[in-house]
Amino acid sequence: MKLVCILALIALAGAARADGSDAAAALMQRFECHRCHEGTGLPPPPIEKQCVGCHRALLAGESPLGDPISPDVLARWQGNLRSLNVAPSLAASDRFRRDWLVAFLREPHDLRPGLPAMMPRLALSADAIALLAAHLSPSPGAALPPTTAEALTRGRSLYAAAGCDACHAFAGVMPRRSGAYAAAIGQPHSVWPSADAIALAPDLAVTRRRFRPERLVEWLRDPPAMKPDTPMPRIGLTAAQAQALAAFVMHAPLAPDPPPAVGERLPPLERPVSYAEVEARVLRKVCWHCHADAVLAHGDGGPGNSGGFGFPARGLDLSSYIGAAKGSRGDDGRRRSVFRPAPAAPAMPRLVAHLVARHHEVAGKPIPGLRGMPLGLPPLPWADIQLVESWIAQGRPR
Amino acid sequence: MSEDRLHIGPGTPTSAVVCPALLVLLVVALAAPAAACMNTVLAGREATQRLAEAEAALERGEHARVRTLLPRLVITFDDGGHRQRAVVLRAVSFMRADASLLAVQALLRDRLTEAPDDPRLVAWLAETMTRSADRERWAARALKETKNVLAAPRSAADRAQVRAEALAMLTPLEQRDLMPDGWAWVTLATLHAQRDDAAARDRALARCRQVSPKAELCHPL
Repeated sequence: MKLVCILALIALAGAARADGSDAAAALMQRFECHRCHEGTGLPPPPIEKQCVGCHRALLAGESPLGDPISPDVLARWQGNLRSLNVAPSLAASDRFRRDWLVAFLREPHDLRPGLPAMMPRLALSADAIALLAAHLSPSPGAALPPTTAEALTRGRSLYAAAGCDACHAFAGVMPRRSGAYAAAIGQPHSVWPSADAIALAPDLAVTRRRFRPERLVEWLRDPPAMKPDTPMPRIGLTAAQAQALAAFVMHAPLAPDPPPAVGERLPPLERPVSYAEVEARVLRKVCWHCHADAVLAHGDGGPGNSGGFGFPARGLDLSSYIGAAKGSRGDDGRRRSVFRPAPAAPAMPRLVAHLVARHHEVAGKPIPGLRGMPLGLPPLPWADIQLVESWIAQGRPR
Repeated sequence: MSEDRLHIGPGTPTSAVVCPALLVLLVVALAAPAAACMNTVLAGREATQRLAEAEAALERGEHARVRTLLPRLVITFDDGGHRQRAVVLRAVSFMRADASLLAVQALLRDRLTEAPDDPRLVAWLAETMTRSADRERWAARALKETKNVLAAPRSAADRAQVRAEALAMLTPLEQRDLMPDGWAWVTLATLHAQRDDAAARDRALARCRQVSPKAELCHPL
């Protein structure tokens, strides 16, 4: 009888895990995690929806859709590809603390100084976040173990000797080698450290909040064993060395981290601003990837038009003058102008408000009811936002 | 003013009728780009570029160029959405060239059932109705792509009702700042002119000159 009860409990636990996994997979499918991330367990989406896959194909000189691209067009495109050339995979995510995952999914912040893009702020509910975090990291994680001054000193020496700063920043603890990422762009991947390695290397200042302490020593000793697709190498640390290095990363005193400044809107330009200028500097450069003409793009105008990343179809086409003039679709299904104010920011046009909101997001001060744009990318320079706002104020001249 | 024939803008033929298929084939075969040939199917980047060029030509009032880029009997599109867009662009180019207004109106009403909130389709339909209300000639047969068959407005009262309906369609777009292009403002200006509201007409034309790629297109229809 006792054995039957135990077997029944095991079966129930298995069923619960399966249900949770299925629900998590459904969430990742709905929010399209696999558009950027490998390691989701989902089959890859079509190449047209693979942000990173498409960019990497172009950088490798291939045509993602199989149709011929002239060399000069390819070269121009390759020169423009600064973001979404690489993204971290979700494999071995159980090395992270679950509470950190919850906080990160709720309010994504920049983890990787070498990577222009970051996790976008999606419309995830608290329940969805909890479910995803539990799926990615089934165990909550142990408390930070204490350390000694001797271990910290030894760890600091090992940090320098192992060359961790070739890829990693450690804000508030170690000075960062400037220009490392820029210098690595264009290098073949056989050169160490590769551009991917530098881009994917997180700032170690977050490790003590992010990493499960009980997994860090194991990770430092042999990263590829835990995560085969990691660019972090095995550097031959002994167990004692890994313990000391882990202690340093987890316990080194962090210098105070000043809150990032939001910055300020610039006053409207007095000189005439044409649509051609706004299109060249802003709309065609950044926005139209997600806000394209759905018909010209074979039915998928991107997440900001036809829907994606869990967002409904807003119908916003920023690939042309007429497209922008047609506005976007609100929650009530009605079209509204992107040149009129939004309720969350009545002092500026809706289009400008979203651009300003991105500055607030990266400063850790998101504006309620206003999602920052461009999604997951660095905020537009204030001068570019000034250009858009000036153009709108001048009546959107052609 | 409301009973006068309306001025047809520069660059548009004074008369264009739906030709027999053979004549159309001959015309487009002579005018078509060198790359086009019988039964060409456009797909991928070429299709997108062709449509984008046709859109730009339409906005600039280059109606003949639209039909050169999208010769109906000579090329088609692999993608259904592209095909539908090409059909509508051709129809609007015919509409602005003073032909088949009733058929174009029927086609646009058809498309609006699928996309009722598309401001550009709304504006195009309003423009077609505005033009047709003052035309004495219209096509006897609809384009085969539409299921709609409409009765032509025969009396002055009918034409006034059509104009009123067109104005009722455009006014909310103006109020919500969703007017898509200069042609929409031209249509609105025409409707205001027909109501003898010169101030509203002038405001609409000023707005057209600001947003249109070719300010010389900004005069009442």
